[in-house]
Amino acid sequence: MANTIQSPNMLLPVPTVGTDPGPDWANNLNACLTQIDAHNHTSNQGVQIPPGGLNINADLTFQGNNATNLRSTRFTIQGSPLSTSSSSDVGCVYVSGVDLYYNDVSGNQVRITSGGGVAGSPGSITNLNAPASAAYVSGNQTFVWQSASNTPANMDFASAKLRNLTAGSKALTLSPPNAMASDYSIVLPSLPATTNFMVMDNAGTITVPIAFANGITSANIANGTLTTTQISASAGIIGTQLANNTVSTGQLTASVWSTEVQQEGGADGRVAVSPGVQQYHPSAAKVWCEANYSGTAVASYNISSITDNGAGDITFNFSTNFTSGNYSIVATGVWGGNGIGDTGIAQTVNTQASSVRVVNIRLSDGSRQDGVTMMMAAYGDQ
Amino acid sequence: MKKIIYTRPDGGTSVIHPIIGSKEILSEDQAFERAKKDIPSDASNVHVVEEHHVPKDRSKRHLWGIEDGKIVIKE
Repeated sequence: MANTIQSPNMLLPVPTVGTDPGPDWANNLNACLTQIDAHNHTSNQGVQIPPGGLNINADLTFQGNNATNLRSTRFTIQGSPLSTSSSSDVGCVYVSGVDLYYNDVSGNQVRITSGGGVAGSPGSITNLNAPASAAYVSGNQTFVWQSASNTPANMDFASAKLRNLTAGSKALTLSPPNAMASDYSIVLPSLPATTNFMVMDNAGTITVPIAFANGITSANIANGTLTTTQISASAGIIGTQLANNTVSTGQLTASVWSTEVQQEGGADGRVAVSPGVQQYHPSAAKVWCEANYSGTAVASYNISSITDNGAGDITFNFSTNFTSGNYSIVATGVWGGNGIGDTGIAQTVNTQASSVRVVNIRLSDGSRQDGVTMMMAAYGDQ
Repeated sequence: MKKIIYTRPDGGTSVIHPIIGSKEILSEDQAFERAKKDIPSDASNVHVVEEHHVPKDRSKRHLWGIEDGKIVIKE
């Protein structure tokens, strides 16, 4: 009969009571105690320890190894997100309130769930499958949308609101025109070397053909579009800037033309005289006429009628009267053309504001005689 | 064109010949209407006659008178 029996879990040489004599008994006990002192609960090193036998009361390290074969990880709910000021709470996942958080190694408290879903936009983006991608690059604070690796994707949305990359910035909204009849594109130009004006053709292509430094030239202005509104009042157009024979009376203000009062004053040397007022100058004949004695005016101005008062006796009636009977008459008669062969003199016998009576006196006997014609002109104020 | 005849205060006969004018654009009627203003206020026996009723012969101009609205030669 053996002096020892082998224990089932640690294969200890346990002395058989009443059989194992000394000193083997003592040696076997020592061997057992030595194995017990070194046991680690691995196979044949003692039974494995169940969770009920553990009391973990400090951080448990896995020493760089993975926790495997976990069915799930159940967290103790924190009253608030764990501070990242403690190095023990960075690079860790935990639950605060009802949501899952991750404190990254940069010290950010990243909320992973919110409102029963993944934090951020709920749902998913249809057809956002590789190689397409949507990502946020925190380094330059930029969302990047790509249709393939290193290939940008188009975007289709309504108005775009652009803001400054600062908290609380106001927005600049880019919008298409209302009620577009059809799709169209606007293509922006390449960056010009210098400041240029932009123009857009009817295909929506914007180009920069006109250097700002050159200004808008006449080649860029449609014919017949400039008005005086576009010209400064102080522009001062001078004569050399006008083509010959281009200024007509329509371009002149009324003040350049002499008025009746200016004509009558006869002193203003900087106004132009028009045919309609020239007769008002004191030097101008207000009335003139050549008439025969049967009452026909051969030629006349400002004559309304001729009164035949008798042989060699004519009254010239004026269309526009003089202001009084004080004016100057020049009159003469034409003799001889009809073979009379006499000579005579025209004499004014009565001047009135509305008319003048002139008689033709034959020098040989002083009688009034018809001649060929009687001519007169009158000067004065009307 | 119609003429206006009248008797002057001195008893003589005057004939007003309306003038259209070299530079004016008047019809004969307009010229005639304008010439009415040239009838002196002291005129009497004023009448309107057709042009052909005014004698062409002026040799006896000093004998012209007005009777029954027409020019007559008072021999």
